[in-house]
Amino acid sequence: MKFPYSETVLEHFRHPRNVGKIEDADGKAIEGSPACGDMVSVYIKVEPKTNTISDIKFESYGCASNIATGSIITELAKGKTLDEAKKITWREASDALGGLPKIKAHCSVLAIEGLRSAIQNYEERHGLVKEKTATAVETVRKRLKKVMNPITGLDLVRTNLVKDIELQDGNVRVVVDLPSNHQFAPAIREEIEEKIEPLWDVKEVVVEFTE
Amino acid sequence: MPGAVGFAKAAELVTPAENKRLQAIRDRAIDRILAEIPDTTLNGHRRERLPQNVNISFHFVEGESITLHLDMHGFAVSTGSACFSRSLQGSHVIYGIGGDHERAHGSIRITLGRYNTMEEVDAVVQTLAEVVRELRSISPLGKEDNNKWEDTR
Repeated sequence: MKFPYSETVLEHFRHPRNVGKIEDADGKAIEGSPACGDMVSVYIKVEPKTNTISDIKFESYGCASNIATGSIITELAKGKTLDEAKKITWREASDALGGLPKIKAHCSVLAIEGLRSAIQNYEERHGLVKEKTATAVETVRKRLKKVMNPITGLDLVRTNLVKDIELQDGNVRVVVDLPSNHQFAPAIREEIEEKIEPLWDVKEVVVEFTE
Repeated sequence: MPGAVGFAKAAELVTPAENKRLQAIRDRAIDRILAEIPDTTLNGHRRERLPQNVNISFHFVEGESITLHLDMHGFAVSTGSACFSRSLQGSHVIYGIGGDHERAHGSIRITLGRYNTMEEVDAVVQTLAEVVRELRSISPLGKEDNNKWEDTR
C-alpha cells in the first residue's frame, strides 16, 4: 500500500516536535481513546500576565497523521495567546503540513480538539470562562459525546449508554446503561467525572450504573 | 485468464519442503518478537497457522505508524488497524478471534514468501523493537501513571 502522506507530514512523523508530558501543566486534555484507535494528550503552560502559551507538549497514540498534526499544532500554538490558539483550525494545521488526506481528517482533528480542550481546561480552572452560561442537560450530553465506550470504540451517547442525565443545583447525575461490575465501568466513571467536573457551575458529579 | 494461469503456477510452487522452510522462518520470527519485545500478543494459534503468516499485536501503539516506520526501513508489512483501512474499521479477523479494538489497532501482519530468508527475520525483529520502543515513548498509554486503560484490558 502506498502511504498518502506529504513530505512534511512524514518529516513530522519521523521527528515529532515538543513530544512528552508537562508534569506541572496549567491546562491539559486527552482526546480520543485507545478503543477508537487514536488518542492525543495536550499539555500547556500559560504565562498569566499575557495569557500566552509559553510551553506546549503532546503525546500521541495514533497513526502518522495523528502524530504529525499533534506535532504541528504545538509549533503553531507556542507563543500565541489563548484566544489566538483557540482559533487554529484543522485546515491551518493541514496546510502547514502540506495537506492531509481527507480520510485522515478524523484522526488528525483530535489534536486540534486536544489543544482547544487544554485551553478550555485552563480557562475553567482559572476562572477565565467569559460567557458563563448555566450548565444544561445538553451541555452535559455534549461532553459525554467525548467519552468513549471502549466496547465499540464509539462515544457513550452514540452507543446509547447514557440512560439519564439529571441536573440540580450544580449536582449532576449521569446514569450509564452498564452493570457496575462491568470491566470498563471504573474507566468510564473516571472519564465522565474528568469531562463534567471542570464546568464552572458543577459542584458534584455522580455516575451511576443500571445494575 | 492471466490470474488463472498465475494461480496454477503458484500452486505448483507450493511444496512440502518450501512450507517447512517458511514455517521455520515464521516460528523464529514469532519466538523472537514475543520474547524480545514486551507487551506483545500473538494473534492466532502458535503452531496451527499458515506457514507464512505472523500476526502480532503491540500494545500501546497504533499499527499504521509501525507499518510506515517499517516501510521506511524497507520492510513491507500490513496492519489490522482501523487507520490503515479505507473503511476506518479495525480487522474483523482480530475481533473474530476475540480481540478488542486496541488489539486490532496494534496488530502487525508479516507475510513471508519464497524470497524471504532467515537473516531477514533478525533484521525485522531488530527494527520492530526500535520502532515500537520509539512509538511507545511518545504514547500516553502504557505509562505507569496513566495506566487506567491497561488495567481494564
